[in-house]
Amino acid sequence: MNPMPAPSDESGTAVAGPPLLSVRDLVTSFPIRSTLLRREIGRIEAVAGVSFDLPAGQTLGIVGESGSGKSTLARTVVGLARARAGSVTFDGTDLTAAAPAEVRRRRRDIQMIFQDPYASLNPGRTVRQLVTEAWQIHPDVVPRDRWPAELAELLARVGLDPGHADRYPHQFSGGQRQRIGIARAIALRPRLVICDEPVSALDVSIQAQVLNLLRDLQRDLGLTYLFISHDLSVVRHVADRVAVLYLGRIVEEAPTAEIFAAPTHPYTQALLSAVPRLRPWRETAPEPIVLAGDIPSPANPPSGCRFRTRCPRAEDVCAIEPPALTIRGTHPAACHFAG
Amino acid sequence: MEPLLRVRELRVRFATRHGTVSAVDGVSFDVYPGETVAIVGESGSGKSVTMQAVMGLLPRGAQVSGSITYRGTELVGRPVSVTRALCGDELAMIFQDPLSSLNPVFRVGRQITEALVRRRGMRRAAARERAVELMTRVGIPAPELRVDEYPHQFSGGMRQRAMIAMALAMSPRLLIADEPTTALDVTVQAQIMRLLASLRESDGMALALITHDLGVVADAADRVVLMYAGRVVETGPTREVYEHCRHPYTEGLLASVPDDADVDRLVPISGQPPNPASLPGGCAFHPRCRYAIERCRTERPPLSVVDGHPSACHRSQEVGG
Amino acid sequence: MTATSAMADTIETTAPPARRRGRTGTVRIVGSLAVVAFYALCAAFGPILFRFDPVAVDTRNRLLAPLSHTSEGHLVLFGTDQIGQDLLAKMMQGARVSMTIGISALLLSGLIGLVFGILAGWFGGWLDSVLMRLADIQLAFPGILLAILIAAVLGPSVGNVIVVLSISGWVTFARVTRGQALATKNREYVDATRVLGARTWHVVRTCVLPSCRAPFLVIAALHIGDVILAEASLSFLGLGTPATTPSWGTTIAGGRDLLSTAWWISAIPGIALAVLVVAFGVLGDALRDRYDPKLAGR
Repeated sequence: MNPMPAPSDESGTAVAGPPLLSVRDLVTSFPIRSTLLRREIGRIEAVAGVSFDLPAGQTLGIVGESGSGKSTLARTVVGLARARAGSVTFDGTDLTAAAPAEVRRRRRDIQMIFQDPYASLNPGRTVRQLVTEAWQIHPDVVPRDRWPAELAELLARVGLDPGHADRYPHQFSGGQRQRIGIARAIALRPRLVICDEPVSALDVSIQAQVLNLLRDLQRDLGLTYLFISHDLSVVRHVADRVAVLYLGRIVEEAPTAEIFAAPTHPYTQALLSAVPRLRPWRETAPEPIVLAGDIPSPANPPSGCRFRTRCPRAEDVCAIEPPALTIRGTHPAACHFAG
Repeated sequence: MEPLLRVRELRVRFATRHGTVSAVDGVSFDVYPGETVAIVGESGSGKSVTMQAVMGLLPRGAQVSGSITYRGTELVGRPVSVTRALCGDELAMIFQDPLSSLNPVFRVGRQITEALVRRRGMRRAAARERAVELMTRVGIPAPELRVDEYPHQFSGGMRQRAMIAMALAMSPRLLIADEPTTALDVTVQAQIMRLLASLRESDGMALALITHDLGVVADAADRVVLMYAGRVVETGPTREVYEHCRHPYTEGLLASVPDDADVDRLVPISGQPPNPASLPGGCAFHPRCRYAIERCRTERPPLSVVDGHPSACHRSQEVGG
Repeated sequence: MTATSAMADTIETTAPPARRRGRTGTVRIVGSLAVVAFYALCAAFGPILFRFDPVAVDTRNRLLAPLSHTSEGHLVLFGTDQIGQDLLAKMMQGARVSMTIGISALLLSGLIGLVFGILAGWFGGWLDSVLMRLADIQLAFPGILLAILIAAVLGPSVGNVIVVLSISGWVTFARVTRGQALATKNREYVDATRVLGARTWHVVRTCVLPSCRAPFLVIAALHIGDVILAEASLSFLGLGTPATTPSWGTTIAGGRDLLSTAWWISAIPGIALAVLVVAFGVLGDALRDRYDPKLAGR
C-alpha cells in the first residue's frame, strides 16, 4: 500500500486534538409493527442515548451482552442503520446532518470488519473480486493498472498468500476468511475501522493470530478502532478505553486498566466476575456476582435505571430517576451508588 | 472404582467422495461417577464426533470401531436401540443450540417430562407437577406460568435451562453437554455453569463437557482431554495440565487466550487447523509446531506418561514447565 | 460456530458443496439437451438444405403419404400437405419460427421479470405491493385466454406473438427474482459491500443478479416448453403467426379438416411439438433437482 496517514502517537497522551469520532446522544430505533396492518405501534430503542469520544489512533472497546445494542451502535456509526436522534461526528463532519455526497465521501474513511467470516463474504466472488471491489467503487483510490500490485501487497499484509487471489471464500478456513474481510476493510485506507466481534466466530488459536494482525495494522497504518465485543478478555487485550453498554446505554466508561481493576457500576462488576479465568487457582477471585434473570426487552425497558431489575444494589430511587453518566469516583459511571 | 463410561481406541470414519475421512482416530478416556471431564478442542478436532458416537447420534454411513462401554455394556457394534435404552436413566445430552433441540409446537413443560410419561407411564397431571419442580430446580422463574409456554417465548438462557431440566427428568448418571454455553452471554454462562456444578454436587451426576473455552474448563472440570485432529494430544487433571502442559498444542492454546492483561502480544499457534481429509503425516500438529523435528514428520508420537500425565509428543520433556 | 460443528466442518472441508451437487440428473440433462440440440440444428440448417417456399403450390403432389415419392421421384419422408408442400421442409421452417418466438418471448419475459422482481424485492414498499398484486391478478386469469385477448387486439404477426407471450410469462421470473432479492437483501455480505460505499446498482449487480442465475436457468427450461406450446395454440387458433411464416401451430391447424384422410399433416408436427416440449420439461426438472431442490412445485 502507499503511505498511510502518519502513525499516531503510541502513548496516546501527547496528542490532545479533537477526537476523530465523536458520538453524542445517539438514538437508533426500529419500528415495532402490528402483525395485521403493518402499522407502527411502537419503537425499540436499541441505542438509547449514547455518547463517547474516540481520539485518533486509539481503540475504544464497546462491551455488552446480546440485546445491549452494541451491534446497532456499530451499524449506525458505519451508516448501515439510520440514527433517529443525536449526532455522529467524524473528523469534524456530522454524518447525521451533512449532505449525502459529503457523507458518502466521508464514509470511505470508516470501514467495518464483520463478525461472521462465512456470511460477510459473497460466496460467488473470488478474493481478487472481493478486494478490488472497493477500488472499483472508489476509482480514485487506486488506479486500475496498480490493482494487481496493490492487491498482492494487501493480501501479504494481512497474512494471505497473494497467489490465492483467484480462490473463492469457501476454499479458505475461518481465520483466513476473516483476513480477507480485513483486507477488504483496509483496502480503501480508512482512518476508522469498526470491528464488530471480529474474532468471536474463530477458534482460540486463530483468534490470537487475528488479534495480533489487528494490532500490527493499527500500528503500521495509524488506524483507530471501535472494537465491539462480548468477550471481556479480548477487549481487555486490545482496547485503550472501554465503555460498557447495557440495554442501549453506556453504564460505565474508563481506561481499560482502570475498569478491570476497579469497576464501579454493579453491572460491570457482575460482568467481570462472570468471566471464567484461565487459571482460577492462581488468584483469589472475589465471590462471583451471579445476576438474576435475563436482560429485559428493549421494547419495554425498565423505568429509571435500566439495570435496576437485576441489580443487587437497587433501591427505590433507581426506579424513578435514571442515573446520568457522570464522573463518579475516578471515571464516568451511570449508577446512583457508584464511586 | 469402575468408570461409568470407558472409551478405548475409538475410531470414527466417514466415507466421502474424496475417500475415507478419519474424524476420530484412536481416542481413549474414562469418565468416573460424579466427576467432570472436559473434552477440549477446536473445530475439526473430533470432540463432538466422539460424543456423538457415545450417544449413537452419528449420521448413517459412519464407521465406528474400538470400544465404548457404559457401566460394562459395550455399545460399539450393537444396535442403536441399546444406546437408546440407556438414554434418560443413565445418559442424557444437552446441546449448544437449545432452540433447535426443543420442539417449537409443544409446550415446554410437556417436553421436559415427555420421557417420564412415555417411559415411566407417569400421568399427565403428575408430569406437569414434576415439570414445575424441575423448572424450579434449574432456576426458571415463575415455573407455574412458564410450564405452559412455548420454546420461542423463552430467552436463550432459559431455553438452555429447560434443556437441562429435560435432561434431569430421568436423573441420569452421566450428562453430556456439547458446548452448553457457547451461544450464551457471559453472565448467563456463569448462571448455567453454576447450575451444572450444583446439580453435580447434589445428585452425584457425572458431566462430560465438550467445549473450546479453556476458561470454562478451568472453572468446571476435574480432568481435561485435549484433542487435535481426531486424536488425544494430552490428558490429565485440569490444574496439572494447565500449569505443566506437556504438549506444544496445549501450550499454544493457553498462550492464545488473552487472559493476562500485561501481555502485550499474544503468542498464537501459527498456521491453520488441518483438513481432516488430508492430515499431515507423523504428528498431525507438526506443521504448526515450533518444537517440530524431523522425527515428528514421520513418526506419530503415542500417548505416554511424562511427568505425571499422558501427552502425545516426541519432545514433551522440553515443552512447558 | 467455532468448535462445535466439527462434523459439519469435516464434511465441508472434504467435499465443497459446489462440487457435490454437480451429480444429480446428469443423464436427464444430457439426454434432453441432445433432443433440444437436434431440434435447434434442424431449425438452423434444415431450411437451407430443404428449400421451402411458403407460396409454392404443387398440385400434382398433393396429400402424399409419408415415405412416398413425388412425381419427380424425390422421397417425401413426412408426406405432403394439401397444396403439395413437403411437410418435412415446412416443419423445419416451422421449427425456426417456433423456436425463435419461444426464445425471444422467454428473453423478453425474463427481462421484464428481472426488472419487476428487483423493483419489488429490493426496493419494496408500495412498489412491491403494486407489482405483486398485478402478478396475482394476472395469475388468476388463465394465461392462454389473456394471450388470445391481446393477440386478437394486436393482430397476427411474429412480433406481436412474442409480445403477447412475454406478457403472460413474466410473473414467474418476477417472483423468483423478488424472492432472491429479499433473501439477499439482509445478507451480511450485502452490508459488507454497502460499507465499502457501493451504490444500489452495484450491490444488485454483484449480489442479487448472480444468485438469480441458477433459478432462472431452471425456470427458463421449464417455461420455454409452455411458450412454444402457447405459440402453437395461438397459431392454431389463427391468432399467431401469419400463414406466410408457418409455425408448427399453423401447420397443425392446416391439417385440421383433413384428419380423416391425411392424418400426417397435423399428427407429425404435433408429435414433433410434443417431443420438444417434453424434452424441455425433463431438462427443467433435472436442472431444478440439481441447482435448487427448493424450487420444486413451482
